[in-house]
Amino acid sequence: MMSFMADTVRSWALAIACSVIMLVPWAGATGEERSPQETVLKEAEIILVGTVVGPATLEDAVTGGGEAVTVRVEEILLPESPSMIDSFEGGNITVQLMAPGSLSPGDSATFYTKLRSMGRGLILSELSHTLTPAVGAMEDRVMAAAAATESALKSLSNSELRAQIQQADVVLLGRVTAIREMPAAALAAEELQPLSEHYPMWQQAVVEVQEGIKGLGGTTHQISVRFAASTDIRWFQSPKLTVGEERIFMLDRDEITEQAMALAGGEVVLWTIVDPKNLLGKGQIERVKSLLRE
Amino acid sequence: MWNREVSSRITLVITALAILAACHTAPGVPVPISVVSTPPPVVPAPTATPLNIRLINIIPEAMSSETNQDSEPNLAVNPADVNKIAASAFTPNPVSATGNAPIFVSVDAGETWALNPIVQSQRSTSDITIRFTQSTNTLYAGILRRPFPSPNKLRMSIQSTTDFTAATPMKVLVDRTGPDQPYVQATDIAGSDRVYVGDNDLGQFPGKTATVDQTVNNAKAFTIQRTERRATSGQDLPPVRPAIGPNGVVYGAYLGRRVGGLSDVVVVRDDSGATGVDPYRALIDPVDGEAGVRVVIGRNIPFENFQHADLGQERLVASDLSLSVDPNDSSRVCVAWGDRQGAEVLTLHLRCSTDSGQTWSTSDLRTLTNAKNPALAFTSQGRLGFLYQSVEGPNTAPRWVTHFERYSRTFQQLDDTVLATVPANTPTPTFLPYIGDYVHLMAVGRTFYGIFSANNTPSQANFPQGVVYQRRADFNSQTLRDFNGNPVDVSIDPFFFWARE
Repeated sequence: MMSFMADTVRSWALAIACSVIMLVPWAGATGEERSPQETVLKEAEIILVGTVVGPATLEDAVTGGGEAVTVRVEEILLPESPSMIDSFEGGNITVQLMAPGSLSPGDSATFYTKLRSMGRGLILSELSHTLTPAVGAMEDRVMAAAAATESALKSLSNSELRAQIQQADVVLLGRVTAIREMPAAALAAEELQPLSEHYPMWQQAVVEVQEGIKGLGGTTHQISVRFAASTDIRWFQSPKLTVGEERIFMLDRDEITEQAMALAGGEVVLWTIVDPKNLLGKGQIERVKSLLRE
Repeated sequence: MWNREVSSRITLVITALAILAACHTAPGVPVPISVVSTPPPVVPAPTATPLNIRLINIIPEAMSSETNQDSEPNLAVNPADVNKIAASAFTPNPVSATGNAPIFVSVDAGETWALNPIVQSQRSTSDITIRFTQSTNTLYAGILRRPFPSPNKLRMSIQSTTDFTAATPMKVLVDRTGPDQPYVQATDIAGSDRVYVGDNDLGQFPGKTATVDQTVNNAKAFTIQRTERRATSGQDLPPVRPAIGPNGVVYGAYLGRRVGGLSDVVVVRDDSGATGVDPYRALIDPVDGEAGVRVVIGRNIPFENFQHADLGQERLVASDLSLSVDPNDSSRVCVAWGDRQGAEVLTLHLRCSTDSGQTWSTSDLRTLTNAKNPALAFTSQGRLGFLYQSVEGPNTAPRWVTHFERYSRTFQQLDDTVLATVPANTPTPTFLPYIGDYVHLMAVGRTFYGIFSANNTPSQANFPQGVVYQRRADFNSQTLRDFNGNPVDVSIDPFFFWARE
């Protein structure tokens, strides 16, 4: 009996994994080459495993959209915990279906969705779903679906990081040793900028190169990185470098960096980092190296 | 007989004098307001009908676990159907870093709210104001849109929707670099929308940056109108506030920054909806003969983009400016602004004009120290509402106190109602602005509608007029709760209110 159950669970877990894998044809697919399935995975804001309870009625403040069903949330796979919707696990939400009649009460599925509304309850718009075979304990079914989706998400994440590494001119592991005012020439140029509460308030971090991963000659021991010190709504999530932190820097010699260097009067090579995605934790170094080798 | 008549006349005179004397000293009798350096004790005037006020925390129940800093709120009540209300704040998309920014929507006059992510800006905006037209049910938004083209450039977008509860993203009407702090006002004439978005167009730097991006042809095309006519120090300050009056009259107020760093409060007007080729020239300053009457000149308006310990953790970025015109009498217009007086961190001033902005009271109708975020609105009765937030109490336990003051048609103060009094030193800011560089007040008919942001500790004592939360909150233990009953940290939330007689 146990063997039969194990085999059954294994077989539908394989089925789920295959169906999710179908979503991610990751053979180098990036940007414009992305398949419809990968697009769904990338566009999904919320991915969850749930069971259809029955038809749902929308709140008055939500208009339009197709058939809606009430779904009991077994597990939220995306966004990663902690998130604002964690507390819906185990509870009911509403999902507006892409295709009317595509799901029936009792159906379990992995739902790929976007946020539709948060009012009295959580309402999602379905992008796609993958049915979960109705075999075995729900806990096992959820675990299998979660494993398959996490694998697909990890693959997508690796694909994006690989593209980022390929695009970066320089990738390095570095330690911030000092925070300085911007070079005098750059400061003077900034003074000529208009006054705005949304400007970045640039500062300069001195970064000691611990390991050059891409694009740095072996003789480069130190670089300068410009970052936005402003805590304005526009900038508060932009990286704020602090003395002592060790991070992986992925830097582009893009227009922004070129402008900064020009402002600095060519005194230093002044890299710029404004996107949190260009800064990774030290613990990611093996992953980065591995992706660079691929 | 004669004696009795004389005696009775003398009695009458004495009685009249006694009444006058009593009126002079009795509390509760409205007197014209002159300069007041601190909020005076105000007792409702006998003629003022008491206000009926309802205050609602607009964070929906489904967002009970949220701890965002939902600051700088704005509000749009649909004049054609006041059940339909939209609100905004620096509230991010709760689940996506790349999804659309949300607005809050209500279809039951603000009693309940839902989040609807339809604003085309990545995750959140960096500025947003919203407004419905008078009768065409169109909601317009003026935003700073993310992502930005480069670190030193701003990106303004004007967007609209005719169904603010639908999932369809708002339509982008304008998307251009340069302007800061778009502030939208909208109306319609015979079913054709007119939209005026005041902004500080830093793309004009160095130069005259106070600007109105506007459409007067039902959003078919927007034009850019420069309202500043005088030389600047290189730019004007951020706020440019349009106000729409009756019969096509449009006003604008801005803070003209002059060489040397001091600033003028300037009001412009156009009597034909700014539809002409050279609009906003109806008001000529009597001193320099230039378009735009200077209400005051040479004011120190601080631009200090850092957290002020003595102003409830908020910053000062010269954005405290509000303008309103009587919807039934375009000659009655009021302006409120903030500047620095002596050692005070910021002082608010209220002045009004009854001759279409040509002359203004030479002294303040109201002066308030340590206060910011002025917002003005006239009701259809000609009552003026004045919403603002001030830091009050001892330095060791400062509080952000949100006031709503009401003024009669003759600009006599009728009352001063405290809507909220909350701790100003908690929670710790996650970004600036902490509660917002501005708030909003408007009126439809005889009802004022307003919005402000404040610490959301569920305590009735913090909200003297009462308050309703949709998010889960235990007022007995003064604790916010998530769906599972777990405690949630205190944060900054937007509070909507209406006030009517």
